[in-house]
Amino acid sequence: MFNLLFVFMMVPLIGCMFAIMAKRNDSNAYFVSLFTTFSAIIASLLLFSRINYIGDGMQLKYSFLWLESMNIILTFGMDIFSLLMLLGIYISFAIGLVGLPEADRKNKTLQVMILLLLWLFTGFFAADDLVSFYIFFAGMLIPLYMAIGLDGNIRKKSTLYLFFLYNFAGILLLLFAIMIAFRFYHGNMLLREFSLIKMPMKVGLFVWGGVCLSFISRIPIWPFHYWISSISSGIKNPLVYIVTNLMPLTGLYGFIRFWQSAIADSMRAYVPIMVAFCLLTMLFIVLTGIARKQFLYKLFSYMTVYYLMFLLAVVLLSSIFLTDTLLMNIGYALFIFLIVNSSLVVLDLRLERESAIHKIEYKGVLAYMPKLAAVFAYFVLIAIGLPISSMFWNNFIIISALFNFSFFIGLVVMVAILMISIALLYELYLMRDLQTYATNNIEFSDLTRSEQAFFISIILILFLSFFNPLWFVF
Amino acid sequence: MLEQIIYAMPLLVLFVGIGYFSLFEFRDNEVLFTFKITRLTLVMSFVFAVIFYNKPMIAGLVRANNYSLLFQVLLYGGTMTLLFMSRKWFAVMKESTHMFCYALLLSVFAGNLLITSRNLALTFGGFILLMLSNLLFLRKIAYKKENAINVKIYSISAALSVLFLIAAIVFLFEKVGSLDYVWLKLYFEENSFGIVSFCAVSVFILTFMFLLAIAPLHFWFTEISGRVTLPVFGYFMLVPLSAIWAGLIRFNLEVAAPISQFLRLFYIGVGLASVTLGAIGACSGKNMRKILAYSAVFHQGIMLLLMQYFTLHATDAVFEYLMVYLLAVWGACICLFGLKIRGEYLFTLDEFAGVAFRRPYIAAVLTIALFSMLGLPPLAGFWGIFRVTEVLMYHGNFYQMLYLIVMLMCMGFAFLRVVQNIYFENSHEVLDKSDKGTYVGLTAFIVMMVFMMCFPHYWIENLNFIAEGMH
Repeated sequence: MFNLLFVFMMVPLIGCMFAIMAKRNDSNAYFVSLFTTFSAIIASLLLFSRINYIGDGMQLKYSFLWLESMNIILTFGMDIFSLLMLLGIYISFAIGLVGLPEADRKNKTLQVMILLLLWLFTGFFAADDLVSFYIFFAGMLIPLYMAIGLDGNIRKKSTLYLFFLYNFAGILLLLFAIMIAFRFYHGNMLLREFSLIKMPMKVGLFVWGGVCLSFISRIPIWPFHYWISSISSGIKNPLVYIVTNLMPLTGLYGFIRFWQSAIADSMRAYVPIMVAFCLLTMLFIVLTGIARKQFLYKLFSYMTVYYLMFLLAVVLLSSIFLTDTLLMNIGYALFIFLIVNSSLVVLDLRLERESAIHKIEYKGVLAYMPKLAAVFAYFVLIAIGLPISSMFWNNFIIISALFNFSFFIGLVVMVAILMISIALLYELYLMRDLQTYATNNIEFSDLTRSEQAFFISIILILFLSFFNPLWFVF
Repeated sequence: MLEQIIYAMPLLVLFVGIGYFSLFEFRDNEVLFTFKITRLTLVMSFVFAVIFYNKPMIAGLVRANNYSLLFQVLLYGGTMTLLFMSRKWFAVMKESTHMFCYALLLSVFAGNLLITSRNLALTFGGFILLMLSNLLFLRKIAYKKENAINVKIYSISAALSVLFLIAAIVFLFEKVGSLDYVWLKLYFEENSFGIVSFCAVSVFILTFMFLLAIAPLHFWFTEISGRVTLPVFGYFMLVPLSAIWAGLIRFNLEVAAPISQFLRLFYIGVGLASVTLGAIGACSGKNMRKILAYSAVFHQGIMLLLMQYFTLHATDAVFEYLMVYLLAVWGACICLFGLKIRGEYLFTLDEFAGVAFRRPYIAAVLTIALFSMLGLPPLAGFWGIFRVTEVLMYHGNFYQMLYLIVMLMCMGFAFLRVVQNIYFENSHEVLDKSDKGTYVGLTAFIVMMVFMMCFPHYWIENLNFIAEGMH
């Protein structure tokens, strides 16, 4: 039977098939990826128009019996939150593809892996039952590992091993937890039912311990921060960088879906420990970000701080008042956050490439490219939360809710955000230093017209979101 | 009588083939001819096995049903693949194929006995023939001096196990008065169970384990695998496993089930030892074949862990795990047959450096096979790990599962080293052109992988049905 959601989910997979069949050492696979990503964006906009905003839970549902003997019915659906995340991811992929250097566009294997990831992301955000959620959550590991390995510029082998093993452990722990739940429920279940299962305390500890550790393995919280920070610091390919830094989103989304109804009783006692780790990691990563000279590392610190803030909001507020409205605020903020980060990554890596080619210092580099400088500055201003996008409103509400929950937690979050914002602004100031420009009159390749138009359209999306976060839905 | 002869056709055809090879010695330049004879024998035997899948030649000795058919399909499938893929090697190396084909037919004959046997004497016969064919592979086909010590160890161990088996058979026959599985089961159900009886049953289980190379009886297999030629390695990975597992599962359910409480701890111990040694051994290996051999020890350890329960649920999971594992091994072996430099098949991990840049399709399939063995979705191996976890959780074995997770990570590390060499390293060595047959095999593998993942009800529910028949 024709189902719009099913067609939507298949778009990246079909693109992947075409990319596999494309010629090697040619840009055909790249154009297939680009076309697929833009098709997915259009398809998601179409889905937005079919979703009822007031409706509760997953919509546009479809399910099929996968395995009768084990009562495994795979269920997929969409709600505004997951669709918004998907749109954000698609736009991020599009930004990454546009910003991909010419040489990297010919890497067919990378394009195949990226499209595979796009499909897995789509399935992940559409999954509404335990088994399909697990399959898409775990499935992301192989293409991501391949993408990082192929084009991540990772010099130390051990980093890649650790990355895979951390994530693999997380995946197995999630399977472990899901299977215990299987035992109590006698089969597959919807995600929102998971937190409602009544289990003995010890069993609950195993289950929720497994679930939390598996999601935390995707988020850079100490001691799980190592793989993501060490990998992020080496990546020079914008697309791979963007994809790698989307992984924490999967962990965060896992928490949102699993703790949708209520926080598990067996985990309630451990929430303060988790919060303490989050806060310490936040402060630690901010200080590391300030100490490092690279803008990209500061951006990584910024992303981590924000992911942790969203995580704190989900974990703490779900135990008392994680309302649909607040959840949507997190969704809107994340949507803008994903787009801004991807744009900054692409632009910064371009700056790095240009400064390496012309052998000039990073300081003052923006002065050579006025068009890029304008776009770059705008994105930095959005990132730090100025009132030029909906991120301003949404962050304001989330931080207020955290202050409302605990003044201390709110204060630490606020300080971390403030410090990293200052660091970003200072970096922007250094990059626009005009003193060096006066002495070095070099011709840089600034943004082309098409690139300029692309980034301006992105800026327009962000700016209009200030008035209505879902302005693009008709 | 005529009816029984007709039902025995699968074995008779094999017997004729073996007899033919015993009587006539073929010259080295008759590679194609010997392979043709072997292929014809196998195809005919398989066709008869399928036609008479539920007709036992002697009802008291063998049991023919959908269970035996399933394992016969795996046995013949593995053998045909090996035959198909090895042909080129023998043609290039100009080695005699006579002994290879002879030993292969002997092994399939022994495999058939083990799959269908419901009598200890017949199982014993299957063991003897399988040990003999293994020995022929190790000693007569592309024998290398550095293998001598391991071949000796294998021979001595095999001879010892035969002696123990004879003692066990004599003891059980004296006690029960029959070697039929049904009578043995009845005897164990109705009588108090002594230490000697336990030892007698254990001797059979240990022989199965010895032939499967499950730890601590893996010593001959893992060491030899790293040194033997690819056709011999392919034989050990593709041919006997399915037949021995068929025999072990049947023996476990039809004879040893009444003493499950004694065997449970034994299975847990051996299973965990295999899992540990397999994972650690694979991590330390620098030789691709050795890594795959240790991975076989590891995966069989997992299946043994499941066998501790003696339930329909667990048997079902063993079937599924075995299926997805054999599929992955099948894919990996085909890949190994497709990769060579100047006529020599790739061996060490360093030789695999940069394979992805020169043979992307083979590299991708090998990677898929390895990741499938780790149980990562969306690959078919997911079903294996999924069922293992489900069974262990169903029985509340949280700690065994956690241990398995740690060992799976070790195994993951071993496979990562391979994938890292294939994709992230480079080398300027030029690989030989691969046969079209390799690509056909690899495409078939991918199709099966997709089918098994997308339509699990077609095969899992049929396996459930077969497992139900066993109980």
